[in-house]
Amino acid sequence: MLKETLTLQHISKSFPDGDRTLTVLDDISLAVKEGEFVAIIGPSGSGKSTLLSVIGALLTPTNGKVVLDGEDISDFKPAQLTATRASNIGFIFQSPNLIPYLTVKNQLLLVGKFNHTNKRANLSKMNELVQELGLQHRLNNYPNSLSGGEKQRVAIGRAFMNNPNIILADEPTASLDYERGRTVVEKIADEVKSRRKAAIMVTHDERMLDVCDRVLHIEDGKLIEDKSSQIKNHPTPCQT
Amino acid sequence: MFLALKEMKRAKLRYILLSLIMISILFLVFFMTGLANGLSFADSSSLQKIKGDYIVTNKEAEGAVINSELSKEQLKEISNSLEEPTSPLALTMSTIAGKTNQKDTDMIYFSVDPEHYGDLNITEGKNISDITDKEVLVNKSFKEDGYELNDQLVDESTGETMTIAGFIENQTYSFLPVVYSDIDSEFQPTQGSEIMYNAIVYNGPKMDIKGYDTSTNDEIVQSMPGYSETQGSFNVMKAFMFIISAFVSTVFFYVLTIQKTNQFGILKAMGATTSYISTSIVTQVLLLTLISLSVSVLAVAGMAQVLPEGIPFQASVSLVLGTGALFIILNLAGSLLSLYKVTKIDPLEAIGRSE
Repeated sequence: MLKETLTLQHISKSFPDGDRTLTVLDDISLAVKEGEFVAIIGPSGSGKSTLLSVIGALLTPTNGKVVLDGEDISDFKPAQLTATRASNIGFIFQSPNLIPYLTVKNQLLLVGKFNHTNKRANLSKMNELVQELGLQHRLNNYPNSLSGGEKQRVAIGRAFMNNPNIILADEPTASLDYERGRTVVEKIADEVKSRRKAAIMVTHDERMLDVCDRVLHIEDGKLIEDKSSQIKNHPTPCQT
Repeated sequence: MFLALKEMKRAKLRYILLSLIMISILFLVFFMTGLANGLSFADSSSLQKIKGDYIVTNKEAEGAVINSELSKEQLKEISNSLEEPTSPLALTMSTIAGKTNQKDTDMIYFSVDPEHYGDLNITEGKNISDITDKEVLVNKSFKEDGYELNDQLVDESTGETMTIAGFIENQTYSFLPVVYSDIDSEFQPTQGSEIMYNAIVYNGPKMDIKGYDTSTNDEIVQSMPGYSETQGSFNVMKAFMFIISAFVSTVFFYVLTIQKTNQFGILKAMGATTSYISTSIVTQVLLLTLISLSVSVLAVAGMAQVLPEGIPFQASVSLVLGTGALFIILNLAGSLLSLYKVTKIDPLEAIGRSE
């Protein structure tokens, strides 16, 4: 039986909007197991980003429980949320968002500094990830000399540096063409499978969905599981 | 530290430019402070060094020695009301006739009673208590005019001849070199027949004498005509330069922080605490300030070496340290604005947005 890394129980999130309250997430329940790669698709304004923020310990839900790695984080104070993000969540953002003045090596090492990871462990983790992502020859390059795909690969490495249990990807292919985007998503899938992490990817790009294990639709704050796409999915990405 | 240093290393030009601005402003601050000090020194060092705990002047002078006039009778009256031995002090401007083919030298007599006046800091020759009737002590600047020990000086207005018995250091009044002489030798030109005295100097506890002012050396210096006005203007200039330099660095780091809002949002989303980012900013401010301080101190020290003798320039270690500390404090205070901005950055903005 696979462990549930993330459990959402009847999550709702509403914001004040003038005199009314705007409900962005409406009674969402979801469980993601280790080694599972889940895609969430939906039109803009459907609540994708808000859902990702709640899971990513950036927002606390108005109602409901977020259990991450056995810990209920729904009532955490901001400092606890920050610590949770530093130790247990890996983010991959829409664009790579690398720090312009750090070399590839230091981009990855920086993450360990937020956690006060010991130097040696940090360094060996970095070397391991760089090998896997095929960035060995780019170690001392700055972001401005990397290609778009390379940048996003560095971003993936960065997300895995703190050995998080869950990886959250916010439209990771938005700034890439199909070929490169595909490679990046496959890389994420590889890492998720081999390291037995859970991953959630928000995306617009339906061509990437076959790499994922499950596809969820979100519309007007409600989550609908796409049964049809689940069937045709492969547990591992097909190699082309 | 990690982020701060890596960024400064990568964006060298940006930080070098800011350092250059800070160095120039600091250089100006130090230079002006040194100049203000030097001017004050050339103006008043001899008063600062009057050998006595208190100086008695008449009421009308309001502490300005040069404006005070005491007659022989008043001198006696004051001496009698004081238990300690006293020395009269008379300040008289005059001119020493130059040697052949040389310019005359304007100077000022400090005429005292050598027996009751404290010993001066001499660099060469005899001290004041040992001088005989026709001997005087002169400021070292006479050396630059070619005078040596035991040379003769001739007062142009009285025609009196005197012998240099010793040299004293840093004794100027109103930019004029001081000549210490025995008041009884009457070298100094007098108005009318009677000798007028400016003040009485004594060592001992403070005594209030009716009809007269008793002041310390510092008070006497502050009361010099024009002294506090000159120093006041310098202080205003210094204050403004401090404010300008602190402002420049504050705005620079604030703009930089605003530019990096997106980046800091990403860092926060990745789990960086506000204090981690703030430490990085403060480290940069401190490093830049310290580097600029050191460079400008070196520049001013170098400048002081090549300045011609005629420009009065005085800078002490304590002055440099004090100025430096104040500068660091002001810059750190300015960085609070950037830190405030950092606390306001929401990591949430990192989600759902492209670069």
